[in-house]
Order: sequence, then structure tokens, then C-alpha cells
Amino acid sequence: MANYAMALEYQNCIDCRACEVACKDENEVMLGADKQRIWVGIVEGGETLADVFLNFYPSQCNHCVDAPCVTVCPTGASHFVEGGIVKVDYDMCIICKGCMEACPYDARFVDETRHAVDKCTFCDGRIQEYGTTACSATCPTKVRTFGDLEDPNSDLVKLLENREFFVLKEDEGTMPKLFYLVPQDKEYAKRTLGDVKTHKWSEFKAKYQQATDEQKSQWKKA
Amino acid sequence: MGEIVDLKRRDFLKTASAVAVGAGLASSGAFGLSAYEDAEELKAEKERQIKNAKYTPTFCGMCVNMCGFIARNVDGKIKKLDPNPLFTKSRSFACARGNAGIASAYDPDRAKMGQPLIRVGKRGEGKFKKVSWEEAYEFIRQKMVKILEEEKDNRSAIAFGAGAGAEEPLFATFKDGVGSANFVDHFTTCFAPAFLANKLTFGSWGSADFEKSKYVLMLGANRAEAIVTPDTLDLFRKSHKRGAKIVYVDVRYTNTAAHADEFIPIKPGTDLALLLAMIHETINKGYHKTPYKAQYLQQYAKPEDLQELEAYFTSGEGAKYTPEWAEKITEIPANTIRRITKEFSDAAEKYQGAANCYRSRKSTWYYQDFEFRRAQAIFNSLHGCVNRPGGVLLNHGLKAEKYEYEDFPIYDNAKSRIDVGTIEPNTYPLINPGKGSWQLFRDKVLEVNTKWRKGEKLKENEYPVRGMFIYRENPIQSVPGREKTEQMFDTMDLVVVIDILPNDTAMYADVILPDTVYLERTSPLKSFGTLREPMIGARWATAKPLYKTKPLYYIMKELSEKIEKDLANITFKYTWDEDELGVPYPKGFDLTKYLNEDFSLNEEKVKKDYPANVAEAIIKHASEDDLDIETFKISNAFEKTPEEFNREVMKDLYGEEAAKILETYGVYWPGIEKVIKAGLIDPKYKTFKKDVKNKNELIYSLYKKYCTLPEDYCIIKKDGPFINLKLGNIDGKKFKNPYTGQFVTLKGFPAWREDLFVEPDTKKGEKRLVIGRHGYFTQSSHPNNYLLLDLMNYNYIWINDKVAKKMGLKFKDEVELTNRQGAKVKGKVYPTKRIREDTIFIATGLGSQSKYFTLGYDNGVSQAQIAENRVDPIIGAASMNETIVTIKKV
Repeated sequence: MANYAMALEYQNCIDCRACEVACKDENEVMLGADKQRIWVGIVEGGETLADVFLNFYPSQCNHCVDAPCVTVCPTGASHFVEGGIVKVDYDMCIICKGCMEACPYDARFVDETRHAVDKCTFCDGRIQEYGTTACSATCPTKVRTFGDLEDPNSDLVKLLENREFFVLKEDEGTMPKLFYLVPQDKEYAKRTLGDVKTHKWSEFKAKYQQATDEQKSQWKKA
Repeated sequence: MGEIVDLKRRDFLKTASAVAVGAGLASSGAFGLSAYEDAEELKAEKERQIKNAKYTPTFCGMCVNMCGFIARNVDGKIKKLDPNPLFTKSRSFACARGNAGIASAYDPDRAKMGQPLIRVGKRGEGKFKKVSWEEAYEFIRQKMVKILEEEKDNRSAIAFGAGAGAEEPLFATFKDGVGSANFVDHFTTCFAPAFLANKLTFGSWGSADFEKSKYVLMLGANRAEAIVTPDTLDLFRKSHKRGAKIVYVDVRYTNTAAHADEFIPIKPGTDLALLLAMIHETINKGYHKTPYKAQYLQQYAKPEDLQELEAYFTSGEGAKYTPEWAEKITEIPANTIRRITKEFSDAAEKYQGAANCYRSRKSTWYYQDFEFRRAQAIFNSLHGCVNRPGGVLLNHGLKAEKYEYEDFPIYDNAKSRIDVGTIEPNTYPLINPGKGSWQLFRDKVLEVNTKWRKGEKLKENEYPVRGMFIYRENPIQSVPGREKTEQMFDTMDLVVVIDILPNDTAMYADVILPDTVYLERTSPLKSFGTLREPMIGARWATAKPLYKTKPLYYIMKELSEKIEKDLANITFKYTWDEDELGVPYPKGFDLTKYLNEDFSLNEEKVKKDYPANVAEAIIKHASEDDLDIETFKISNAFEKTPEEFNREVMKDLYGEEAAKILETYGVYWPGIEKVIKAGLIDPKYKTFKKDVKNKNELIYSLYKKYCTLPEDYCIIKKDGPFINLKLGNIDGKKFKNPYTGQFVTLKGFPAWREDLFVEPDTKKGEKRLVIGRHGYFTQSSHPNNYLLLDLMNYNYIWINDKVAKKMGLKFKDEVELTNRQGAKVKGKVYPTKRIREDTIFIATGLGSQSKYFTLGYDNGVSQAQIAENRVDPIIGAASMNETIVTIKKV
């Protein structure tokens, strides 16, 4: 059984936000500037025009192995499905917003048209046919590589084995599954990494595998 | 875009506030039996939709790039556009606008012009009545007949304006059929300076071969936001020391700056000085004499040109253009200029021309644009970067026919262009004879029509332009001097707008003809030739047209059929030569009654109705030796539908299998059939099969692996000297300095002209206004797009944060801008450190005044309103950034 995740070549991101629109189309996400399942985080630094800089961090739900949003949900609406994807059952959601509080990544929002909390689903329903998400397919500079962590031949695993990466808010211990690939250019890496810890897949693999295995029995169909 | 920071829901580095709720809380469904039924049903429905949908290849119509997509049609409605991996131009990608094409088709306001409309209120008021297509055509016919009759068959009394797109040949064909000399498109509000400078210097404006570039110098060309395919896609996969060094020069820090190895701020309007200093440095250091370049120049440039250029920059007028001189003008340190010249030079030598001083696309900025772009072309040439891999390519595309028609008659009574034909001597020496200038055209038509309406005498070559067809162009919102464009339309008798949404220009129309959205039509195929990987693309209709809209092809064909007999009749009358034909024109003769369906003359009927000598004269006048009246059946030009045209052209040029591939996959290049046979593409979805590995890399390797053309097929082979370092043909020509009114003499080499450069007086609070693009709106094409407005809901005025603070301005405070010509506009500010203190910036695309737009109306700042109406004195293009404003807090 697959365990889906994503590697992000974030140094390619030009903040064109094609991913946001592709996501809205594919998943019929509620309209509205603040209704996005996917986004580009921007960090601006420097003081003057001469030394200003912008860093872009494309992001979305991390589909954490140990997802606090699932743990906290009182009705079970937030749940894991096959592939280790975190989803919300709209019917079961009572919009208590506990998950929104619990999520370290601010990946959730209220969809008033569905009367439920909404979030990225890794395009569940699409990936079975296309093998990749809408955001990944549309990206101009191919920031995203979507794939299965349990398939050693997947493009994703190969990337993780060959490159160092970091995850967001590692200290939260949620085991997030968006892997940000460390840029090869040391100077640029320094500018965009800050003091974040970088890793090799060998450090993560066993830990992630074990936690995922423990969880698989909970995975729902959809 | 930084100006929409308020739209950002998430602050990336916000510290987490995870609530520690008791772990292991029961997570069984709260609704017993129905647990996860909803999620399961939604997923099943999604899979059903995807499996049962119809997939059709198309290419995008949201901007001029025309990227290749596959449309997913679910029960008649387009639900998703996915990138086409075989379409090499767009590298399997769709930008925000491309994805938002769906919102163009399903914009609720589209229904407001879901059928033809005829104006009932004042122009601009937006009052229309719904009519049938037949009524609309009849209305147009009557007006055209009246105009052309009164103007004695001067076909140029009806003008044509078009935006860029795959259907442009259809519209241009109609224009040629009517026979007007007056045609204006986006050339002079967009890329005229860069195009002309490169074309005159080395024969084509070329394309950037970023895939192979090792050094890229970008001057204000914001490719991360103003997306050009494949340039954008190729460049930002090589940034951050992955193959190319990127140096970016601009007046503000953009998303492109964010990915440059080096960002160099420059004073607005001084790029020419920078380039002149870089050429000066090149020549005086002998950087062009290194082995590769010496040989390149010997082969491709004329030795006498090179000698003269060297003399110009060492002992001639150009000798003063030192980096120190440029430092004072540009505010870029001389050392930096020296260093980047050296770096560029070294890269060009080491990699045999694989360096590119990128030529931009929209380059209508300042009065000195032409000389700036000329200097750029010379700089690229001097370093051996023209027509070399990794440099500027002069491309060779795949053969394909254009939808055009060559058998139209020549209309002797059509006068020459109103703009080009009436300009003063010694002005605009390089105005394009075929495309003229939007602003000069507009200003002249307004002036002449106003005089004519008052009954004043017109000068030689002046005549009223009384009608205009506008297709897919929105000049009221794009051409500087908005009010003048409105006034011009108001002096006309017939304004026909053919478009998909009721935009600002449509509000000034007498007749609105609703076109289909590009997703609903098949377009004439297109050879994408300015690519390293040339290809042919086709757009096939992916859904049925909504409402009563019609594809342009049918509009042009039906309109031609409607007007052709009457127009022929008018020409017949006004070309009647009594001396030649022996009898005076038979009063009251109506040719339309004597034309058969195929436009042959019903001679029997003529002979029956007229005395023999008159009948003979009529027959003679209509004959092949005289008017050749059968050629006046202009609808003959539209014999083939785009579908038939595409199939026929492909079959004739590339064979049956190629035609089928183009129809199935929307793209063709020699060898593509092998990709399909290799089983990489899903035959239903037409994207990569789901299990194909290495998709992100395949996008780049497919063509190289499977294409049967030679590797550098795309590069036109040049044998002799094709580079004109000196422009002998413009040497000595004059133009008029718009600031001083003095005549200035052009030279064969570019020169900096101090009196063409006016700076804002910052002590008086003046600022330079710079207008530019971003990734979310294509000029003024979609201010009402509900998906794109989610990305950017307003074009805030960028202002330096320190300046804003001094003025007491906070984010979203409203100000009023007033330019030197008195035009005013109100808008909200975005204070940022990302812009110079003497400059403010607005993005294009918003500020529509069409009340038909529920979301777009009066939202944002209109560039056409606030840009000064200034025209490049050499080529007649817009100089949009030649705008200086004062700012007042509202």
C-alpha cells in the first residue's frame, strides 16, 4: 500500500501560483482569496532596495504521519485514507475548528459552501488515474515531485536519496511529508534555510516507515 | 506579488500554536453508519468523472504564448485543463492564467453579451438591445454601405484593430477583403522597439535559447511574472548556479530579482546609458577581439562597420560613454558595469556565444527605447551571441501554411494609412508602414474626424475614418490616453467589437458580436517557429459554444457574404472610367442585381436592361481585364473551415499520420509518432501515463530523443555577414524631440540624448511612474476573472516605504495621481522597500470602467488612464514609462 508524499524543489518556485488555480479547478475549491488548499509562502528580508530579498516556499498540507488534526478531531471527520492522505469527511465535520488550531501549518480553512473544514487531499481520485496531483502537473518549473515513499523506484524516493532536505516545523514531531530539497548553491541555501536542520532520507526512512505501518490499520477507503 | 500580501492567508514562518488535545481521543464516526460515506462518494464521483470525460487538445488563449493543454470535458462542461507534455513550447505547463481559462468561459457576465447587441444609449453608457445575428449583420451592412458610398469607395475609411491570437489571420483576411489600409494591433503598445532594433540589426528579433545559456543579463524583463514560454520555464530551472548566471537590472525588486544571482537597481529610463557603457568597455578593452569573437565578427559582420564602431567608441562621439559617465546617469557603480561586461564577455568567449543580453518582449517604455534596444543588439552581436546556441537564435520553424487569401482585388480608391500617410516630414523615421502606431492613428483620426464633423477643410491625405472593427483588443484600457480613445470612437459612425466579454471598448461599440471563448472553437493551426524545439500546434474545439456566440471564422464568413455584393457595387461605381469605357456611369445602376451567386455577371440580364453600348461598358468594366468582378466575392477567402484547413495542410505537408496525430494530440513534430508508439502517453488522457518515471525530466528529453530533425535545425544557417553593426540606412535621418520640438539627426550607431531624458523633480514630490506585468492578468484581458482575482484582487500602487512614511501613507491608503498632461487617477498604495524612492509602479490589467463587469468594474488603477500619451519619436510606439506624476493623499 502506497504512502504518498511530495518533494519540493522550492528553489524553482517563481510564485506564479499556477498551482493554486489548478487546485481550485481540479478540486472545485471554494472561491475566495483566503480559500486555498495550496499556497506560496513568502519571506521578505533586507532593509533597502539594494539588499532586499524574497524567498518562496510553496506549500500545502503536509499529510503528516502523526497528524494532530486527525488526533484532535472530535467526530472523526479528519481521517487518514489509503496512501496516508489526510482528508476531511464533509458530512462528519461540525466546524469546531479544533483541527485548524492543531495544524502547525495552517493548512486548513472553512469552506462555507460545504459547511465543513477543507484542505488538500493530494488530489485523491485524480492521482489514481494520472499518477500525479494537479499542482504538480501544472507547475512551470516542476517544483513538485509527487510519489510513493514505499516505492524505491519512484522519482520521489530517488530524489530523497540523492538530495538533502528539510521539513517544516520538525520539532512539532508530526512527521510531515512535504520534503523541501536543499538548493545546491550554498549561498542561496543559506539565505533560504535559515537555521533549519537538514536531513538525509536514511535518517528518516525507518522512522517514517514504522510510524506509517502502525497506522495503516486506521486508513479508510476515501 | 508582494502587493497582495494581505491576501496571504498564511504566514509561512508563523510559530505554531498547536493545541495539545488529549491524544488518542476517540475518532470513530459521529454519525454511525454513514461514516466516511460522503468522502467515499466524492472520491468515486471524481474517478467516474475522470474516466468518463472527453479529452481534447487545445492551446491556450489567455495570452499570446499559446501553451498546449488537454481539456477535460465532463458532461459538456470543461472541468480541467492539464498541460500537454508533447507540446514542446510550453514544457508541459499551465500558468495561473492558463488554468483560469475555465473562468473565462464560465464567467457569469459573459451572458450579458451572449447574443449580438446593438447600442441604444450613448457611447460608453452601456445601453444595448439584444438582436439576432442577422439583424446585427444587416445593421453593419447598412452602415458600411453608407460610409463607403459617402467616402467614394475609400476602403480605408473603415479601420481594423486586432489583438494577438491564433485567429488573427482570419480577422486580417477579412480586413484585406474589405481593403482598408488602416490596421492597428498591439505592436506599438508592446514589442515594437525590441523587435525593430533586432530586426534591423540582424534580420529577426530572434528568440532566447535559455536552455543552453551560461550567462543571462536581464534588463527589466521580469520573466518570473511576465511569463513567456519556454523562456520562463527554461531559465528558472537553471538559476542558483545550476547552469547559468543570471544578472537582473530593474527599478524594483521583482520575483525575477528573487532568483537572480545578482540584482542591480537602476535609475528608470537609463538602460541605454548602461548598454552604451558596456559597449564602450567591450571595445576599449578589446573584449570583442578574443579568438572566438574575432572569428565570429569576421564571418558575420562587415569589417568596415566594425572599424567605424570601434572608432565611434574610441575617438568618436561614443568615446565619452565610459562606465564612469554611465554611473552618473544610471546610478550603477562604474566598477559593477566593468565587472558585468567582463563576466558576460568571458562567458561568451568560453561558451562560444552562449550568453544572452535578453531582449524583452514588451519594450514600450521610454523615448530612447529604440536606441537602447539597438545598443543591446550590438552588444549581443559584438560578443558573438547572435544565432549561436545559448544566445539569441534566429529561428527556423516547421513549414506550415497560414490561413490567408491572395486573390482579393486591389482597391484603387483605398487611401494610404491615416497615421503614416499624414506624418510631418522628418518625424518618426522608422514607423512601421503596415502597422503604423496606435496612438498616432488614434490622435489623427480624432483630429480629422472632429474637423470633418465640423465641416472644416481637410489637408492632403486626410480623410475621415468613420468605422472600425475591433477584434480581441481593448484599446480603451491598453493604449495610453484613455479619454482620447473614447473620444475617437465617439466620432465614428460604426464601431464593431468582436470579443468574448463586455470590456471597456465594447461599451463604446455600436454593435457587439460575441465570439466564442478559445475553448469552444477550432483555430487555424500554427507553426511555433521561434523555439529550439519547433512544432506545429492546433486548437480543437473542446466544448460547444455557450449562448448564441459564434467562432470568429463564422462571423467573418457570414459578414463577408452579407456585405460583399454591396461593396462590389460601390467599387464598380467609383472606378467607372468614362473615358476608358466610352459612356458615363449608368445612373442608378445596381450591380448587386446582376451578380450571380459565384459573382459572375449575368450578362443576359445586363443586355436586357441596358442599351447595347452601356451593357457593353458594364460587361467590360466587370471583366477580368478590368475590375475582375469575380474576385470581389470576398467570402471565397473563407471557403475552408479551420478544421478542414488544418486537416488539409497537415495531410499535404506531412501526410495522413501526421494529420491524425495533430488531431489527436494537438501537436506535431517529426518523430512525435515514435513517442506515441513508445507508450509514454496515455491515449485517453493525452498526458504522461501514470506509471511513467521521470516525468519532470522527460519534458526536456522527449524531443531530443525522438525528434528526427537535425540537432540545430532551429538555427537558420547564415553564410555571410548578416549583422548590421551600423545602420547605414538610418544614418542622417531625422526625428523630432517631443520635449524640445527640435529636429535631431540619427546616426548609424546609438547615442544617448540628454534632452530626451527627463527626470522627476523629487523635491516637488514628482515620481516616475513605471507600468509592468505580473503573472496573473494579461494586460487588460480579464479583469473580471473570478479565479485570477483570488490571486490578486487589486493593482496597488507600489511606493517606496520611506517615501510613504514621510507622506503619512499606509498600506491601502488612497492617493490621487496626476500626470503632466493633467490626467488623474485614484488608487491605493502598497509601501515597500522593493522600489526606488523616485519611482512608483502599477501593474497592468485592472481598473476597468465597464459596468457590465460584476467583479472588475472600477477595481484598481487603469494604466491607459494614467500613462502619459507619449510616442517614441523614432518608431511611433508608446513610451509608457515616460510618465511623471505627483501624488496627493485623498
